[in-house]
Amino acid sequence: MSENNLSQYLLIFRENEDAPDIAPEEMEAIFATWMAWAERLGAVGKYDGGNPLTEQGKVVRGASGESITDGPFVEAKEVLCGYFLVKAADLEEACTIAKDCPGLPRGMSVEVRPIMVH
Amino acid sequence: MNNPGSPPIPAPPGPSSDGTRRVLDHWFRHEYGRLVAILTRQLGAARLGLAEDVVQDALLRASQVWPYRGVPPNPTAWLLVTARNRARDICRRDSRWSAAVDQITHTIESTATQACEQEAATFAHEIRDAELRMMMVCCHPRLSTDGQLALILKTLAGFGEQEIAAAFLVKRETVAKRLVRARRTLRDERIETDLPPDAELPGRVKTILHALYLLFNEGYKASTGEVIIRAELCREADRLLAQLQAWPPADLPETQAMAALFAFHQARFPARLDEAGQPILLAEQNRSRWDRTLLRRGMACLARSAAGDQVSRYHLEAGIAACHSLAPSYEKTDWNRIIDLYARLEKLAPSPAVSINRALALAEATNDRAGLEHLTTAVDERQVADYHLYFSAKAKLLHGIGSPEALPTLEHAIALAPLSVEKEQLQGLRERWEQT
Repeated sequence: MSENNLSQYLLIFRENEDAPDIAPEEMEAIFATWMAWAERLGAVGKYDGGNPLTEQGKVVRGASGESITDGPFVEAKEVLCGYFLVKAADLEEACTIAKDCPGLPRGMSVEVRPIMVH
Repeated sequence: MNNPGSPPIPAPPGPSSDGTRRVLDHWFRHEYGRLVAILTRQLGAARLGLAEDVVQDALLRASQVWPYRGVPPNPTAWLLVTARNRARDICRRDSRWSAAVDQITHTIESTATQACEQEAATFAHEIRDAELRMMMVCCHPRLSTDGQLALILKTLAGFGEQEIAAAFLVKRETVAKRLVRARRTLRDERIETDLPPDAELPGRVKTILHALYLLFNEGYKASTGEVIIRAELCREADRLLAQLQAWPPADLPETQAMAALFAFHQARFPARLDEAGQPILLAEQNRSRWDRTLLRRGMACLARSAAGDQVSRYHLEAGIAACHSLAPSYEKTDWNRIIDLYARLEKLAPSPAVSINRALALAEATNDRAGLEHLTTAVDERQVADYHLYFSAKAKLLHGIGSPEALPTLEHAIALAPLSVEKEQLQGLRERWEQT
């Protein structure tokens, strides 16, 4: 598969707001699996960047932005905690990548969205 | 540090994959120890709790950010800056710290900047210095022995409370309480990270050695759980001892003797367990599997430990370990020398375990009857009512002289053995006796 046939997909990670705290001994293991996952993708040229997001944030609404609230999280159970931009041949492959997300066993969800090109 | 132009996570063998390898394998724990030591040096031992919290937070941040952006070129500096920012935030918000916030911010700030700019070697030196001072704090004579050990494992080795609890056969809440009490003592007694005056140094080093000895012992022969060797406890004790050794005032003959002892014991690890994790007795170990490098290190340390005129228990124990290590086979062991060393150890640091070992050595050198005689006269049976090793030794000696008491004594040892692997080993012995 040549690079030209690959499209970009956004993997959006959401975590349950009341996810349990991680004990220090677990942290090492979780970190290692994430790092390995990202590096595996990087090694085959499928990782295009990404960022973690902090829990703080505001939501601006209204025609002239008159409503500023403390994040969209009041009603939402899941909090957006980060995103990856990945390359994949199609949505199916992007989902296969998402299935390897190390956060899944701890209740994280991954939304897979194709980046619009044309 | 988050240079937007830098590539995200380069493919191996890029620098980041090296970084990842560096980060794994207990790097987090060791980094925890290093950073807590540096921050405690800056904030004062009274604020140990704050230092621990912000370092924990920085590591959590790293585990969240690095997968996305790769491991930064200087991970320690990154963590230090993150911990500093967190400490500053907390100090500003918390009225207890507000008076000190400027001073705290300033000192951490300058250290973090230094960490980023300094030559790696200079920074490594600073870390060593901070860790050494932290070791002095953890082994402060005002703390209880339990508190000292818990602090060493938590702050210097980065163990979790659950792991410490497992290592010392206590409940997690007990460990938590010991840590709280220890931190409170540090705060209330205004204990600082200054190095003790010269006159107090040998005493303090002895306390540290004792704590490291207990730590190593727990790993060498775990008293709980399913695994008989907790090698990571031994490695931690050894690593901290090496740091102590590198500091000339702490490099006493006793320190060298302990280094020799640790090296000899660790050299035998590869031969101590079979593939199923069952312990293999010294007599049956494949001696070619003993680690030659560690044995040489042990001999070198033992030679250096001979400086001075003081003989500590560590000297005697290292001497015994050396006798075993040098023997080409179990049968050709210099049992008479071992008996002599155990006899001196019995005077210097009497304990049932020492007397049991002397009795077993006597049995090897002469006969089982002599061993049994020493065992029953030297050990007060009321003191060892729960001690399975006493009864297993006694059973073996009784069996050697053909006594009918051997089997019931062995049964008693089996009932007392705390680890299932030990029970199984003794049950195996019982089966062999029953067959003959």
